[in-house]
Amino acid sequence: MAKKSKGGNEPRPFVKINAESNEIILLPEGGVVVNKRNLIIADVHLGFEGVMASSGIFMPRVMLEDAKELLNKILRKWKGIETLIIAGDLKHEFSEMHRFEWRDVHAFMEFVLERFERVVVVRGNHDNYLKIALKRHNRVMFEEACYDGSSFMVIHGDKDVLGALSKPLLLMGHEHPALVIKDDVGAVARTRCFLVGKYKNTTIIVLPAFSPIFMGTDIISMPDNELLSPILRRIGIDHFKLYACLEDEILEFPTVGEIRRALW
Amino acid sequence: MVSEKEKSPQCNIIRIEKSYSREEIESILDPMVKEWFFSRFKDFSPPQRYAIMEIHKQNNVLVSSPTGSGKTLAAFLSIINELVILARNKMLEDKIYCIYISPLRALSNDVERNLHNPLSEIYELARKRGVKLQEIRVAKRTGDTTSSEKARQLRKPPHILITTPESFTIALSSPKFSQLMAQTRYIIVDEVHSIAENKRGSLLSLALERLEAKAGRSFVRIGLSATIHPLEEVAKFLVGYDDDGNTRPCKIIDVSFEKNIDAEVLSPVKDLIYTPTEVMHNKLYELLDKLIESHRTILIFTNTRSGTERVVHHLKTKFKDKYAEVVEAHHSSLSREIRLDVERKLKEGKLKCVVSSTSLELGIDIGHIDLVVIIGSPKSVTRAIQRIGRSGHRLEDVAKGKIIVLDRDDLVECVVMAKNIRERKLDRIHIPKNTIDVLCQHLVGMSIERRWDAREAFRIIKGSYTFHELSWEDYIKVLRYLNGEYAELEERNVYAKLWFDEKTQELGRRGKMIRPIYYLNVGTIPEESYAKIYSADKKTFIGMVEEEFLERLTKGDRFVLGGRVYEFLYSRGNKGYVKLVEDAKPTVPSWFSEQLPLSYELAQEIGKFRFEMRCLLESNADKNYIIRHLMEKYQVNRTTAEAIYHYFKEQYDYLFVPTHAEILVENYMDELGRQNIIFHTLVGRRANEALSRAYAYALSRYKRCNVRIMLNDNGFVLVLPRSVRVDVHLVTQLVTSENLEEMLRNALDGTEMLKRRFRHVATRGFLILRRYGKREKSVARQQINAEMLLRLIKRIDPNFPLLKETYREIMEDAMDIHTARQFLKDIESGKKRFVIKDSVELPSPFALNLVVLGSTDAVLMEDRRELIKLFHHQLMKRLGVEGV
Repeated sequence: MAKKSKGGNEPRPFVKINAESNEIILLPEGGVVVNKRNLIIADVHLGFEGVMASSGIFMPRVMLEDAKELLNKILRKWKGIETLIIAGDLKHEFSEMHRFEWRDVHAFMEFVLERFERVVVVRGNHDNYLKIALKRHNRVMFEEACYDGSSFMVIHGDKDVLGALSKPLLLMGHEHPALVIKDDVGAVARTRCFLVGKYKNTTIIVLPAFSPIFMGTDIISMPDNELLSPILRRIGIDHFKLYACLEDEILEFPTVGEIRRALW
Repeated sequence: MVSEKEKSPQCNIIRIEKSYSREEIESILDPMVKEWFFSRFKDFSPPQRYAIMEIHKQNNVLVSSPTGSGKTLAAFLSIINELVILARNKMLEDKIYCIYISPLRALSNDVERNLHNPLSEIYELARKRGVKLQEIRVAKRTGDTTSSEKARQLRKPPHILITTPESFTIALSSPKFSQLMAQTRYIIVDEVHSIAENKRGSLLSLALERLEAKAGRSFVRIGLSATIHPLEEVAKFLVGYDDDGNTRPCKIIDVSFEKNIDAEVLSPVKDLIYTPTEVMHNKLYELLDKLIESHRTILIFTNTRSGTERVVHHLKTKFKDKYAEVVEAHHSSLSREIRLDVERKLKEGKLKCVVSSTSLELGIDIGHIDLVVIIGSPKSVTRAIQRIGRSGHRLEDVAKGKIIVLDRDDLVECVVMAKNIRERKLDRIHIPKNTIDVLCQHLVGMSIERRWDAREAFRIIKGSYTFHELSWEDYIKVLRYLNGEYAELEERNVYAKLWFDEKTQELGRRGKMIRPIYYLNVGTIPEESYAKIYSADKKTFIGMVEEEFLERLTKGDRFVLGGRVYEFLYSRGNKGYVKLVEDAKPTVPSWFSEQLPLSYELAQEIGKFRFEMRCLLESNADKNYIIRHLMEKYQVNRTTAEAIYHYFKEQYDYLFVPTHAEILVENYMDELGRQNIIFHTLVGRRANEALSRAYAYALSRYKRCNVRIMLNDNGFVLVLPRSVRVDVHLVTQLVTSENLEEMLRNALDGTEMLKRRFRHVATRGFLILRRYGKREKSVARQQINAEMLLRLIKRIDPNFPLLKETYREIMEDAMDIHTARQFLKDIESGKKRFVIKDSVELPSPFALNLVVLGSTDAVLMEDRRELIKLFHHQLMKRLGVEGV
């Protein structure tokens, strides 16, 4: 029941930020468009259903279709995107390549190759054996990190690369940030969010998991030293601004520190 | 001899009014059996006078009688007699003659002993008399039975098989052993009242039909029950339906009223409201001490397992010298060894006192108990009678019970209950029907057994009481689900649990792997999913909470765990991290899942008692007159009567005394500035659950906000956010008998109850396999929770069979939507009415427990995004950036 007021408090269909010469657009679908031509997403976790099945749980197959639908939604609204960069954890299972996972990865690659000129997959901690699977697709690059000239760098976020930062913009996944709130009658709501902060001269953007089925980590109550990413553990996230993804809109919040202080 | 077959379906279940004479019974007994019987007993006990002949005549019977009335022998004597006659004539074959099914594994131990003793004594007698008898074998088959023992049972089948509903069901899918079981002539279902009221009963009910179908003929069904109402319904459950849809015949033997019960309500202190907790606590244990001292062996019932642990702990520490060795706990989470040890000590008279939650409600033979103490209201007259009935081991003994109350609501409730115990006004049993999750298990079991025509299988299923009203459409949907049709074709083998061809209407086993999966996963008792709690600084383990409890915690919430208060900090996966806070009050009530619900019937009686009290107060009757009236009519002492009088007088003077027909609705602002609407709906806990959620949802939709619910047995509270105000008159009109179901269904979305129940149903229905393959499951399982799964299932089909069952289970079993609907109809017809008291300064005395101790849940507004926006708005305001 937020009242309609003017100014930056209202949800917007997207949020535009500038970092040095980079133009960054945060999308409610959970992706980021950098310099009009690059779409970055993270943590797709294809094949999650198969992992569940092999542990005796029937989970309807939704990961692949959800990812395709979200990408289509983005592409309908944003023209001129040439490159898709996946910031790690394209698939879910670590220890082996599940049959269905294999199939979903290929189906996903065929889908994106029809829509993007270039596809880069940055290796995440779940992406073992992925290299073999991606060999089949010519235009797909599989990298430890993805650099775009002198402008930005995409990593997964499971390794500390702060010593080697050279670009003014760093994008990462791995953390699955979410905003969890409770109102004064005890009702709980949860939503995926972006975190935008800075380390020295580099702007850091943490992407939410692209798959909307993941609940994500309650970033406000989680102490900094318990965060998954060694990068975020080291620099702390109090100064990161939070952008919540509400289906078709993005809602800009103050910094994590301000929210933490306001709540407790 | 065959009983006369009645034609009309209504006449098939009949109560037997006439008992048989001693001579009649003696005339059918083998001389050896007769001699043995009268060497042990003077005469036949009441249930034996009715049952032995009826069973001998091959009639189905349901025997309801109290502990110590020789009920078990009433069922077994005819059968033993028949086996002895066969054994004497060398006609005893290698086959099963009788299957005895009991809900408790420990109970089966007991009966095995009780069977072995008579048999060995009869054989001893035979030896003395020089009569040669073939051996009568008795064997047990439970989850603990080894495979070598099972193999032995196959080679040398027991003549009497003792088993549990689960093991019995599993054995039906065993190709050879099921053939042996199908030869049985008798099936005894012990404690049928306790089996019928939950999903174990659903499992058993269809298992009996499957065995009957396999046998191709009827066997004699014998049900043994404690006091329960209505017996006709339990009888129907026991015998099921024949192919024409008629209830099979059954004779009801009801001798439950032959035992006298003396029930008294005690309060440890005079003043139940201003006595400090500390003092109350000490007085309670002084009282218990006094009771233990003045009796030989007492049995104490608490309403929860944790309560049992607490009482034992305090008795052992407060009275170390006296009770350290002679007081023990007995409840279902204790290991079997410990329980058996406690039972043995009890029988040997080595214990002064045993404390139990529910496990000793059932008829385990525990020797001589001369007093039953119930701490806190047992919430139902039937349960109170069953519990108190555990004392006074012989039928002619008076069963003696003391109910100890700890607050004023409990006091009123128990005083009314005691009167109803004396008058034997029983509550009605609820037997779940159409339990789709249990049907899933059976269908998989049947598919393993053999190939079926789906129509033939359906006919057998409909013979069961539980599934008698199952529709063909629902049945086919279940088969489609089990056939993996919700998964894509190429994945079907991963998910499918059986094979079903809709064209040929055939169903059968899918793959070799399904048999071990089925064996490992059969069962209906839900396993809670627990999360571990650690201290955040030292990372030391503190304890366990239920998964859903952890999910609802947010930073800053304080809750009690193991008697101390902790503040929740954060969680990662299935682990919660907390810090200890000294001298702090909990802000989140602990989980109430084990709480017993107040029955509808007792709630109504309390409502009528309130009416009686109000009339007395309105008539300006003298205080002493009212107190004397209470003492006489309700058989209470002066202190108790005074406490009741004052409680009602306070309520009467302050606001209004609600009754069964006049529902008080109070409206007040709490200290946080939130509007609280308090409904004094005394319709039983289960109906209250339904009403509270329906009202909360209707209000949430009307005002587009979240609503918090607090509820207990006496009513419920709706709590609104600070920013919202509403007219109470309007709120009372938001729910009608017409829209109740829709409101309730919507209200369940996102609640902890829905998630938790869905997890149980999904597990029973094999959507989630508890045990599967060799892989380590815990890691994978922590990545998914009931909420995610629920959301995804809803997406593929909002009428998915197990989803539908989850809603049914919640609305019909956990809640009571039928009574709630009747309540609303009564409001609409004017039989009941709301009495609204607006702007009350403080909650009335009757509302106090509700506001302070009620268990809570939140009903969310439909658009969750609104909640985030609202939060954002408030946050910006707090940070001083509003109006930017």
